[in-house]
Amino acid sequence: MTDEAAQSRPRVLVVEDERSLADLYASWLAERYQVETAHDGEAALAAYDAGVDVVLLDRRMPGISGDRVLERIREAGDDCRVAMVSAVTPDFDIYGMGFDDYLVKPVSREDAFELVEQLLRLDDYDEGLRRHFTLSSKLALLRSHKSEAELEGSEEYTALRAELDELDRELTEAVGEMSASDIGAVLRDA
Amino acid sequence: MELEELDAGSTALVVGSEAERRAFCLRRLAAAERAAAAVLPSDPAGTVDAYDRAGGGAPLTVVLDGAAEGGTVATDGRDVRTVEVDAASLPAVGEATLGTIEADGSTAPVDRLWLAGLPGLLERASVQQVYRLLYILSEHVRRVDGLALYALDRSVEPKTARILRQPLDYEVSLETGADPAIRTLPGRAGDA
Repeated sequence: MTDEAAQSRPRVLVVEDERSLADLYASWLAERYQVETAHDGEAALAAYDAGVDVVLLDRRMPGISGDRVLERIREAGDDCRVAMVSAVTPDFDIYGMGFDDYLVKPVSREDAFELVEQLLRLDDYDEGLRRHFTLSSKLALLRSHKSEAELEGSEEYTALRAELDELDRELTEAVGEMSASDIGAVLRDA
Repeated sequence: MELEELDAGSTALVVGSEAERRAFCLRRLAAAERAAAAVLPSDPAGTVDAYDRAGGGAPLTVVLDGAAEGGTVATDGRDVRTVEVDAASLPAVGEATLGTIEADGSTAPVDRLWLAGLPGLLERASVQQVYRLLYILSEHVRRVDGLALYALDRSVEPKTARILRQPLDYEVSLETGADPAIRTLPGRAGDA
């Protein structure tokens, strides 16, 4: 793989205080993604930047907890996807936490790939739905201010409609297969 | 257009007074063949009674959104399931509603969906969030040849209403004493 191709792969940050576990996750995921590891909350926040696509985040760590790291990432306002990967069984305290997914350890190689792929797919949904809303808003605006004849005679209007139709075709299947947890994530992002 | 034409894999914005919207949507909900779902901000028990009176024979799921009042539904002898949404948030409503539409093996796929609390959702969420919710739910309902009805207040901002119409197939306008006026919306791909 060329350097350029490697650089274009999604970036995954693995935050896990058990070094052997962090290394294991990293060795799996490095087959498809650029992977960085951090072993505590401070290191996670130092390694995190807006270019990170996915964070796999342990909850219980010495120093800054995973829950607090999650809050700090959300405060930054980036589009990053975060999954809690923890031995802590989820309880009612997850209410209000801004993660996109939650995996209880132990995690298999297959689980890890499935999780990251799922989170990256949410990004695609998010971008498509954002574009869909923008195009629809423009079309709605034009329809409210222009006559039918004016609309039909406009190349720009025709181009907008064609773009929306194309996007619709792309999104329909993916959106139709969205799960209940997916919809929660893409609605939180809007 | 006849009202029955709404039935095959379509979605509609229903605009009118609260009483008009409720009566119209309940009638359509009661025509469910497999299962029906109502997403309500209030009066779940009254809605279940009205569903029965309208002749609803299919199993009904009531999703009580976070702002719901009177969350207890008497289900004696009736096939009614309730899903209470923990948070008064649009993502939670979306997750609960989509979870209800999807058949999980123990329930039939929902072929009639009534989202009653759109005006309330618009107060608690951005237009883009509500747009996404309608778009996603609509795609799922179309896939099962169902019917989704989204009830909207006349007082909603015209700009908001224009945007929310975009991913839907029809708009039903309800006026007291008049037949429902149904028009095809231009936003869907391939339409005028």
